[in-house]
Amino acid sequence: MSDAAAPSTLSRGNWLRRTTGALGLGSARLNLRLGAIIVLGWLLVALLAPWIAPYDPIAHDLPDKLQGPSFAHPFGTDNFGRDILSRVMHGARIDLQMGVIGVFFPFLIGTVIGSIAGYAGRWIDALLMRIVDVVLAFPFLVLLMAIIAILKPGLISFFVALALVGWVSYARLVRAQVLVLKTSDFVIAARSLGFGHMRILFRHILPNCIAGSIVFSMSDVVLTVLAGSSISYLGLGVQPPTAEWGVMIAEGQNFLSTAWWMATFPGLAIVLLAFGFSLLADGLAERFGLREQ
Amino acid sequence: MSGHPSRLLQVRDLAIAVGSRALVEDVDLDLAAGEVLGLVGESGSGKTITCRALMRLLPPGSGLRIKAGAIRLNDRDLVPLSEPEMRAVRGTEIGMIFQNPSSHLDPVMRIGEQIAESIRYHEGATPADAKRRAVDLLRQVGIPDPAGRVDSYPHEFSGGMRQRAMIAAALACRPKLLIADEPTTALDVTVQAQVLRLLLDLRDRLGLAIILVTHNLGVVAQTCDKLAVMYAGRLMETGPKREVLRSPAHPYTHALLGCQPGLSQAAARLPAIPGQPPSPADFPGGCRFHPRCPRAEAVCSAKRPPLGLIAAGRHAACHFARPDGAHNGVQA
Repeated sequence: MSDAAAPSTLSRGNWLRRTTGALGLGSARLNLRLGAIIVLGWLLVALLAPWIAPYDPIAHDLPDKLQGPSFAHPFGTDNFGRDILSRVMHGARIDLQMGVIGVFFPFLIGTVIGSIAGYAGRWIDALLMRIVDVVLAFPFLVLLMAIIAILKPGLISFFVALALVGWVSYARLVRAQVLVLKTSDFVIAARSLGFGHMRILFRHILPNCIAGSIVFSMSDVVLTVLAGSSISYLGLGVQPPTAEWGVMIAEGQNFLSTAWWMATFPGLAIVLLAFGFSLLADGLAERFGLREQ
Repeated sequence: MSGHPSRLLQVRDLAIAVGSRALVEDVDLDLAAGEVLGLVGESGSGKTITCRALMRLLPPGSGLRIKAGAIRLNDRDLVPLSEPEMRAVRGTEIGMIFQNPSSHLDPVMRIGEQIAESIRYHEGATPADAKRRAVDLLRQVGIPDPAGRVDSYPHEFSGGMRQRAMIAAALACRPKLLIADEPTTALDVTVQAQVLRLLLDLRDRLGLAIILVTHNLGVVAQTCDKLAVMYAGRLMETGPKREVLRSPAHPYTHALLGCQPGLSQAAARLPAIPGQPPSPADFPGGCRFHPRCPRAEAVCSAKRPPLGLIAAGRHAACHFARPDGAHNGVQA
């Protein structure tokens, strides 16, 4: 944490740093731990949902519909009498899956394409980067929705669309770093030992530039969960009656004035999960020395 | 020097150019097993790119290429070899170590893995075998507790130990020729001496031939058998170390020796060669040293002096080269 070393200039950043410092946030280790605890907590909830959820997430119970938070239903019930808490717990399974799988394939594809573009250079680089430009020219969500609409609404289409669209960020990130590292001294040393291009690229260059992508992927999980929720909210993703946070918010929207809990609790779940991954990303960034503390 | 079959390395008329502009030309080098050749010159004289050219590792994207000449290693010319063929030569027949050991080691790979990697790559050794040999190599280069250090990362090593580790990696597949590009420049003086002693020790034990690139004539005096002096991309003088240092035949070598703090007479001010080394964009005609040479005459700017034999085993590129080192106008 920055204490005595903090310079005396009263910039906004310093004010922010001291405030967060007083709260114990902003410390790399604490961020990392808190983020990991939150994410692991959600992971446990997702894994154990069938056993720890107090009610069936899709069973209708019309007499108990639209009840506010109570002892029996801590998060209340929705317009079909389904327990919101149970639905949020089951929703974690879908939303974590969306976040993790939805980031994994873009990460993989983007890293491979970016490193090849950066290392090969010349026309290969030019060609791949023009493709990136084309993908980036479209708004992310619009392109995602268009692809999903062409395929068919559902989780699988969402993953396919993400793989087709999401890789570009990773490709750019990795390419930039490979460009720098490919002329670095240890790469010259590796070449002087007679190693081939593939070995140099994947054994020496990539491990040295993957940290940035890992950090980015953590914040990308947040964006992906939000995108997935938005897509589901728009009816193109997870279909009702499956419990998914975005779907739940969409359903609760009509009852905002009478049953605020329907949309609020799944919304809070998204916020908490996003917060966890953001802290994780922050902590990792500082841990990897990507950001000065 | 004639092409002797027992020579390990024979470089003839090597020219390196970017576009049509030659940065290095007419470099001839000879090296036998167990010999240490000092390649000496100011920064920008072409020492480093000459070494990189010997490995066929001119920086990609720089436009540098070998324009002419032959690099014969054990009588096989490396210049026409394809890249895959060349890859088999690097590491196994020629090893290379660099000036800055900190940046030339992969920061996220364990030292032992970096050494073992080339053994596995070139010789197909099993991971366990390669690691055993890595430990053995670390012991040979004088790393204390090699079995405990083999799993360390480069940042856990000191500068001198990193250089030792780099030497171990370069020698992992037992190359016969080691190119050492200013291996001690980034180290402090006591560690420098240790690393140089290690290199000589390895030379004795393994019959290694070493090309030692340096701008430090003190290092040359301690270690080399032979000397090649470069200036502005050309060889000025070559010969046995003792004779070249005692009686430099070329005015440039002479001037260079005069600039060494340890070797000059206790002067109040360190002498310097007047003027700046020329940039490759406007190399002077004739002898490239003539604008700075105290001995220069009209012929020097008009005609380029060839690297001529001046005594047994000694060559110099000067119209007035004298093997006894006496230069009218330089000393008198």
